[in-house]
Amino acid sequence: MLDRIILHVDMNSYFATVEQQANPFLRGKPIAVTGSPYTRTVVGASSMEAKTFGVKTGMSFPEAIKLCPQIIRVVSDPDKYAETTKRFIKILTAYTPTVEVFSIDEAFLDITATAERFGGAIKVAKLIKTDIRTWCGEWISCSIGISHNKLLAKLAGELQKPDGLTVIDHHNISSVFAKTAIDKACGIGWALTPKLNEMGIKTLSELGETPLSVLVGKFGSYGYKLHAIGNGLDEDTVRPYYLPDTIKSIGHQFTFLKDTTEPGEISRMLFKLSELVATRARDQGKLGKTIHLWFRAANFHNYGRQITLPTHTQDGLTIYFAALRIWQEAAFSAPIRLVGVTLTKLRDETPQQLTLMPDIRLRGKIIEVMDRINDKFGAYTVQQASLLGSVRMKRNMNGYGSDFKRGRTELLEN
Amino acid sequence: MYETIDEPIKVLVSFDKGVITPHRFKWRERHINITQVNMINRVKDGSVLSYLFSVSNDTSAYKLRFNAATMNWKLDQIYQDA
Repeated sequence: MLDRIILHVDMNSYFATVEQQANPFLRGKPIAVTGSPYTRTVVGASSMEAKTFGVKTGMSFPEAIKLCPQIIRVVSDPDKYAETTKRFIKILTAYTPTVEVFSIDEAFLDITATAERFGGAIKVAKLIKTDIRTWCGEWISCSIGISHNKLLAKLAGELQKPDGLTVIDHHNISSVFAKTAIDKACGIGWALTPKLNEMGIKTLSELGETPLSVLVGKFGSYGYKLHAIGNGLDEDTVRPYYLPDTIKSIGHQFTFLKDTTEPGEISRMLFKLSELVATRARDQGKLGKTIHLWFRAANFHNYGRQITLPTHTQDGLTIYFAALRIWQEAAFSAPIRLVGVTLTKLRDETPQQLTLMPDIRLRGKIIEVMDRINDKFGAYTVQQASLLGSVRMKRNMNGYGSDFKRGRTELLEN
Repeated sequence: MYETIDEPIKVLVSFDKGVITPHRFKWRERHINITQVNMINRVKDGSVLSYLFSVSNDTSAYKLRFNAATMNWKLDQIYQDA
């Protein structure tokens, strides 16, 4: 008997499948969705056909070509994916209001109270699959996992791709765990897997049989989480999409076309990234206190430093000065390929006491007017003079959908 | 491979139950029939709303843009199978 009924819906090879939906000539072919061809970007998503050649998310496009010479490059179109996500989330909310948007292509549903109305959990899953093909497109498919908690529902969804429908219940959990590798479970990633394998733990059953004391001894407090995973336990509830988001950070990064040591080019990009971060913070009604700068050297080593300001900010210039200070103090002379700026220690925007300093008040007013102009006439209509002629970076949607302008509830707006 | 065009076009469309369906368009004096509308998505640039139609026929795929503010159509991109 299932106590709760949780569904995990995962769109298959999402961005690539959406592109294949939009263009039938790409269907059945290996494609890679990347950033602009004029920048050095990585594969953001690959089609199922490309995956059979070993093409994976995160590899460079030249690497993908080596594995699959006939691969077709398609430039990412975030508006298309956002629209499709809006449609698929709307479909899900027809079956329950308790829908958690877990990422741009994944969602959890708690259908405990509504499943019977539609003929049971499996019937709901089949209806969702049909609705997605009808309203999102015939080429778009999803894998659905059904179980009594989120951990097992997500695991079930992982077991059969593409277009899967898998149930894990009290009857089959032992047999599923006995043959399922630990890295299939959410919470066990590429860093943990080899450590667990070294301990002789390869399947979820073996993880469940490992004494809690051994896991805590080796992994500290995360040992409790691993023990719960190994025993298929998860008390986490499905957090409905309409509850406020808990955004912890706002960041942007940029990969230079060529590795660079040129101070002007780097500081201009720091300013650009700082402005983008600040604009998003203002869009989402957030202020942040800690500025984190990180960069990747040409040899792929990452470096990061942070500064905490005395007060919260959502001003690009303040963020830029902090990021620039970190960069200058790092005194890094080797070529870099990528730089990123992140704002953390966020708090909600509240009516603030007016500052008595006229120049700060004036600057606040200028920022407000610039935002209003750009909202009406489009991004970069007005910008800081020193950024004129710089790269027009389009804001790519992050994988979690949290950078929709007013949070994830925007997903359901027309 | 996609080729960016960004040129004005004339489009024959039908309106039914709140859905606009393009059937045919004229570009550079050529009449091009549309046999399939594969996807429609909206894009906002500032306060200007545009509708993007990913359409195709037996030989090519096209991306058409309808600017709801100016009521103009453009051919954004063409994809021809290599």
